Amino acid sequence: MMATEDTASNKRETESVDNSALLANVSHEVRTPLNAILGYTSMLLDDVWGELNEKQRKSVRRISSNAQHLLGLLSDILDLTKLDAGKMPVHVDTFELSDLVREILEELEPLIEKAQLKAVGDFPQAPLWMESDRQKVKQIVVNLLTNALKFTPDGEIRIRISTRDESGLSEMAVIEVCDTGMGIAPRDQEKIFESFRQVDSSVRRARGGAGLGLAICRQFATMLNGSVSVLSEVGEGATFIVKLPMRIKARKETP
Amino acid sequence: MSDKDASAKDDEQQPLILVVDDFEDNREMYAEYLRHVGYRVAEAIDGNDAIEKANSLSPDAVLMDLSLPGVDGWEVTRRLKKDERTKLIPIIAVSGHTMVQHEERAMACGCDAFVAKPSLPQEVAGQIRRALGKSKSFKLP
Repeated sequence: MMATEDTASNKRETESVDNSALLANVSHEVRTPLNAILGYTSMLLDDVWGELNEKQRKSVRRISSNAQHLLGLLSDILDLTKLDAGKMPVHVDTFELSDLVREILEELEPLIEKAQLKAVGDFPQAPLWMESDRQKVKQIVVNLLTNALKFTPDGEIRIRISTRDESGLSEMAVIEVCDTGMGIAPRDQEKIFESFRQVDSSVRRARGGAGLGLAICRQFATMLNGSVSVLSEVGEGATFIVKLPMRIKARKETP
Repeated sequence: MSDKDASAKDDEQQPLILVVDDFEDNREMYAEYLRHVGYRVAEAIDGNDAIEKANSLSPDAVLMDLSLPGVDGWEVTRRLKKDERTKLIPIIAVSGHTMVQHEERAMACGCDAFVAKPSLPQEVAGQIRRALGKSKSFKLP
């Protein structure tokens, strides 16, 4: 019996090694042509071969932003695949949550401006020190904010940081991202956390995004022993609520 | 190729950059931009070509793709950094292999910097400028 189990687990191991080698190759093979597309478009936009007229500039910008989109999609797919294979380790860092969110708002400022929206941060007085995976918390917040930007035609996006004592559990950090967008019908509220699922496929074409951002949010939140949920009504905007333990223990990485 | 390599009309004062990449579109993209901002540029299309040109042309910096047919970019870097004649030339790895272990291997082979593709030519030019600023004093473009 043991021998059979060993063989099965060896086989699984080999398969997952094969898969990660395959993914590394796919990543390289996609990045190589994207490098040429983004490089040449940025030279055109820099007027290296003379000044572009308005129509040309607009066209080249579109080539560039679509190539950027493909790049984002690639890294989302790689993240989800690593998550599925249990290959994504949790790194525990010590960081201050309000600082992290301020940093993110600064980084997203060009996007917020482009969307002609206002983003307001609502931070607690006291510093909120966390021992968790900073990079993953950052991506959860970035994904929720870019999601809110995509689905809010006008108005504002509010991000609120607080703490909450869950009964029987330790203190949790709560991050709420609240928008004044189109809202989500109750029957669609679970779907949006699944991979490649948006409420309506026409949304994907109109607003961009592959529908992976929220799936990654949920998986990351789960990895950090937390949760992400949504409160919304059609036409009334949406509030995404992330709850994360302030402290998680460093786990041994699975090989 | 040879007519493009460090052509005689180029100003000898400008630093010479060796751009190594087997994919023509990316190699020429970086080469064209670097020429545009005022560098002299030579191009190499594989590992052996890179080693040969690093020796014969003594470039001031090398832009090194890592996946190359034959001798790969990691190995080329290792050899150039072992050779007295070429070991001081800064080597900037530019690669679509973006995993941590690829970068660590590049640095272990002796690369002076690592840039992940996609990397805009403006960004690559910035890296070259930094590398040249460190090694000797140039009138940088």
